[in-house]
Amino acid sequence: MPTSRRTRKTTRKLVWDKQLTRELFVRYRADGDEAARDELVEMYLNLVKYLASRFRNRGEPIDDLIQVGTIGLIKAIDRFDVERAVEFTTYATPTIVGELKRYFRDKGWAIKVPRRLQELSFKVNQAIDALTQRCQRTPTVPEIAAYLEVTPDDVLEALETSEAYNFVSLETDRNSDGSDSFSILEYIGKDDQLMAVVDDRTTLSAALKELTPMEQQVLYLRFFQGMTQTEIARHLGISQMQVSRLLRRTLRVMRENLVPEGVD
Amino acid sequence: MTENERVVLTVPARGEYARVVRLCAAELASRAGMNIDDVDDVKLAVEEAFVFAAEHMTDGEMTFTFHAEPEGLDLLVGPLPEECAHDTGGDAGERYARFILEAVCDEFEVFTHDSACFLRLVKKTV
Repeated sequence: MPTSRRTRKTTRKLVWDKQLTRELFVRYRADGDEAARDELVEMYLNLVKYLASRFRNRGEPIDDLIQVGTIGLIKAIDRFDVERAVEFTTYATPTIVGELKRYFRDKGWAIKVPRRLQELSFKVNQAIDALTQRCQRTPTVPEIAAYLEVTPDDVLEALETSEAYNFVSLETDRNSDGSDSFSILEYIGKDDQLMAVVDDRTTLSAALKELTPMEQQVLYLRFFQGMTQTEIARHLGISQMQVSRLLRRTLRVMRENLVPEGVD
Repeated sequence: MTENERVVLTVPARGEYARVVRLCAAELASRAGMNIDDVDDVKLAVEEAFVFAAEHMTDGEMTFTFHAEPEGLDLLVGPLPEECAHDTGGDAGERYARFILEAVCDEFEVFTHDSACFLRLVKKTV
């Protein structure tokens, strides 16, 4: 005989104490109070849990997702400007979601790329450099295919998957000492097109901070200076494929940070 | 694909199909004689067009029609819901998509026809 069981569903609203949040940020910023920072992390952990749960059906343990989301939360805490008239949750949500999305993206790439394509991508990369030098212009796909004696489809496939791995680590361009770091924000004026995309500078600034100096520079050269990928590659001393990969990652990160509601 | 020929691709309006359209676009751009910089621009444009269209569609299908033009590649995206055409200042995602599309295409327009919205992108072969 079936037993009747009453389940009670409670809808919990996510609510945070704005006044306390502000006080903690002031303590952390003004006095470098690490305990205040820890308290902020603790306080907003349920925001991380809520956002992580939106990704729970993608085959990753929820605990791992919460851990990844917490990294996003810490980044948001460290970057949040308490003087801005923006609520911390508004600021933190895209950063946390961005971190979670990046986790899935990186994981996916690491698994999918077959060795044959990795090798071909490496060769295509070298062929682009050689042909650009030889012809003094950007090569076409059939030219690269002929040079490598493969089909144009192979070249297109290699170009498509090239962003899955690093040929040369670009980590060194992160300018940890900040001596020659590039910040695109310095170049963006009030009436700029990119500025017009978002309502306030804080949102744009948060999105741009997700990018490395190298990525910011690629974005600036492509969309503000109107340079082609090959020109950017020459300017920065990297390959066209690296520029292509950086540009796509850059645009994706920007989109993810500017459109926080696109959680799923 | 030669002049006056067209390639029509209809895919479910879900993000995972953006890659299918991007690969098709890359192949057609290459056939149109574009160099790899321009092929990459076409790929970026198609991805942004996909996002632009997907902003207004929760389900259904999206149709991409590629035309070979003497000077390059012409892409028509649609029919989409009519509200796509109203540039109300939109949300950040839509404005961002417009910003990228205007930057990477030689021509970009949003227009209505028979109560539907269409996106038209043109990338010229240098």
